[in-house]
Amino acid sequence: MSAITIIGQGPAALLAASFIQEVQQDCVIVADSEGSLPLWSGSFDFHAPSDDISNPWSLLDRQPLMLPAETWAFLWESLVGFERAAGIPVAADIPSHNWWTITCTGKSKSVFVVPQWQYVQKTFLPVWFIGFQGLADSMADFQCHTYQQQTGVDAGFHVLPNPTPWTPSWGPIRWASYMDTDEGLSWLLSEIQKVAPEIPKTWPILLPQVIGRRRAEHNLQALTTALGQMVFEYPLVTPSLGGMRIRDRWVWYLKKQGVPFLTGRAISVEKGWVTLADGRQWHSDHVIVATGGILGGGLEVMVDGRLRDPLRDTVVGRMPPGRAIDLYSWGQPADYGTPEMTACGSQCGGWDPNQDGNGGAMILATVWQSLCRTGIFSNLGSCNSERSVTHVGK
Amino acid sequence: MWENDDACIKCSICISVCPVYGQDLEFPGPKALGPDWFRAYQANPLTVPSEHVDDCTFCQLCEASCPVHVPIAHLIAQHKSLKKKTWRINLRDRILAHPHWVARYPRLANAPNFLVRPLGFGTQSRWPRPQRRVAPLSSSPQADTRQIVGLFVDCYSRGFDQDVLSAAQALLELWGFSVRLLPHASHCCGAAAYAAGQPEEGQRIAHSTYDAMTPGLTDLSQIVTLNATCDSTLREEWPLYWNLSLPVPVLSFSEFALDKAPAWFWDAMHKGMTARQEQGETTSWIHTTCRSRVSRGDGILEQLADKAGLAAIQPLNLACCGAGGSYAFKEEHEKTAHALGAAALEQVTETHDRIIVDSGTCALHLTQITGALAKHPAYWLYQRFLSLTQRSGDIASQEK
Ligand SMILES: Cc1cc2nc3c(=O)[nH]c(=O)nc-3n(C[C@H](O)[C@H](O)[C@H](O)COP(=O)(O)OP(=O)(O)OC[C@H]3O[C@@H](n4cnc5c(N)ncnc54)[C@H](O)[C@@H]3O)c2cc1C
Ligand code: SF4
Ligand code: SF4
Repeated sequence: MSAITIIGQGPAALLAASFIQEVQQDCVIVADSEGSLPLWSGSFDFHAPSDDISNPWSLLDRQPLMLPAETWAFLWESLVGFERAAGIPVAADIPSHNWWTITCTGKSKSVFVVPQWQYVQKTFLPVWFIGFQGLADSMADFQCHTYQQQTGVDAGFHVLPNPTPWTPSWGPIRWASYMDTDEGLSWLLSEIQKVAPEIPKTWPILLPQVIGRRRAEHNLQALTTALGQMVFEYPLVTPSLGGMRIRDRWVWYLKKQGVPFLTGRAISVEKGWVTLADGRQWHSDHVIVATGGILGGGLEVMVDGRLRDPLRDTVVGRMPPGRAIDLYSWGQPADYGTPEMTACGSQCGGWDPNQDGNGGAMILATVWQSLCRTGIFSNLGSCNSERSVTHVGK
Repeated sequence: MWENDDACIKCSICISVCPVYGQDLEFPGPKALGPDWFRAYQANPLTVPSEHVDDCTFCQLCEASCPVHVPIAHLIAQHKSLKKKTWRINLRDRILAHPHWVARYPRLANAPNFLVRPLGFGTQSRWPRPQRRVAPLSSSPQADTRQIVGLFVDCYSRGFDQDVLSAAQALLELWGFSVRLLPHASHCCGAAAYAAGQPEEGQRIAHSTYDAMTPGLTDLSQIVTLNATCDSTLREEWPLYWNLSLPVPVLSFSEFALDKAPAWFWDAMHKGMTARQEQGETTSWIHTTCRSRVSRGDGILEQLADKAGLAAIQPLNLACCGAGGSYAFKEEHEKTAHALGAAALEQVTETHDRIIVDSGTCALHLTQITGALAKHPAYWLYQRFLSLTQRSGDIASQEK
């Protein structure tokens, strides 16, 4: 079997697999359900959304794991590189300042790595919101009002009526499937054209993030060309098309690179041996536990280093070296004598991405720490450097 | 009814993976048809079934995606069973739920359109052609493990894919195994009835197949399957839903080959290719069927193709090809079935390419859509072995 087994297929697992592919090592992914990407709006968050951060590097010492700036730069660059290789349209430059995106409630949220289908701006500018009558999360009137109040900048809105095939059961995914059809795109274009005379030509038009699942960029480009003004999306709440597009493309990219995606629930992980509930078993030089923890009870790492399966309430393994550990220090080389097993992603201690809005930082930092333990980055100095793992805790 | 049947947390992840939901704007999707319906039905057993419930292919991708393990597709099958149908659709669905009847008389698949159309059978999807039994083609075994493996003969292989069956048998014998074909006469694992919303009938069919198989199992080391749906039905659904437990482990041909084919065989697959043969190598497109993905995962067929030395291996970006067992043979599903499969055309542009796929009906469907020959890995492995070891005969040429 492969040298490295990754348990989980959420963003942490996909990032770990991408790094492993990059250094031409074999890995296998095994998971018993989807990861949480379809719930994401699509941005890799680095800090609480309300902060106005002009310099992203000032964020870094707020994270539970402090890495040197050059390591962060490397991780950021790698993330952007993987996303672009997978066909996710993100800007090539590492961000030197934050951007503002506008949420479906009209609030501005600072972001860094965001796909280009989503509207971002450096300073607050006038925009035109468009909502769809039959899409619950697009509340253009409220959105417009909040945006104007919070930024003091001018804005306008329109709410488009429903297309003929619409039924009350339509959620964001259904809307996006409709936009993937030629009929959906021409309906949208003709409805916007009806109200276009009222929209100032220099203002970007912002649509809810349902403008196609496969054809989003194509559709936005077609609208931009036909209307002669910029058209983007604003993110909605979950389930989120932004995260789904990223998931679909990233998984497909890894499959094309030859990464197997096995289906199964790991019920035992001991000394490199992974055993699945269906009886399959194999040995790997290293096991990366990327089992999440928000939805559905993934494997949990307990304070004494045991791995617990909450569904069965059984202990399925133990993190080496089998002594009590500080969960905040997850994955740190200093704490691990053997490179058999590490953990990454939202099940690592010390991180609370839902409260702190740092899911992206968490994934980058913990995957990095995990992979350093496999030895595959041995040629990269910062893996070995003591200061790379200064633990600041909370 | 089942573990986690009421556990839905409404995350909608299942909707994000459902191939039919992405294609058919009227299909309510797995959450509405599975857990939402189940809750409504528990509260009020008179809840009217959705008119679209039968449009689900039973691919089970929704179920595999669910973070809290709701048995979504199985709830939908239960939902299907409550739907009232006209007599002609009932008759058609009853026939399709018993593919082993058709496999017994495969010429039934040649019935003219004017006879089948009034019953609601589709006429756009290609129907399979009957194949007469092809004798196993290998010479004497080159190894002797003294183990007996049971080769599960699914109804499709029996009636319409005899070349695949023969290739699999030949390879297993070549690798030193004695092969016992199971069951002796035409039977079905019950998957077709389950998918069509006839779980009780599926269970009855499965029990009868189990009874037909069990006398011959005691000395087997393994049961090897040639169809991903039968594979997961025997291994997972029989014990979980129908209380049937085979005393012998069940494994797909592909996984068995990866694990058990001897080293000399793989060596032979990499040696002796003439320059002409190398030049003639085509792209090997891989379609891991939905049921195989749900049960075991993606990447196994790629590993097999790679180990066999096949060139230019590429996965197909298809969640479900739309064949869905007998789904594509129903007139009301033909449009969706063909739209789902058409995604393969973005990748397969050369009709001389090969498609490797672990289900006979998916192979038929993909061949029709792309024009490239889609076949089970056993077929391609044996073809390659024959061509590299200069053995006479081409299994395709023996098809009738
Ligand atoms: C609704 C929501 C929205 C969010 N949006 C954002 C966002 O926009 N941006 C951001 O930066 N952060 C966001 N986050 C925060 C955070 O980044 C996520 O929690 C993060 O996605 C977790 O990813 P993960 O890879 O660690 O785990 P998950 O995505 O939860 O993946 C866990 C995987 O492990 C598998 N698994 C678990 N146990 C087993 C087992 N025993 N055997 C086999 N497989 C197993 C599961 O099947 C799953 O595939 C969001 C969080 C939530 C809840
Ligand atoms: S994936 Fe599972 S929990 Fe989520 S909506 Fe579907 S059935 Fe409910
Ligand atoms: S079984 Fe397949 S077609 Fe049916 S609802 Fe689930 S994902 Fe959709």
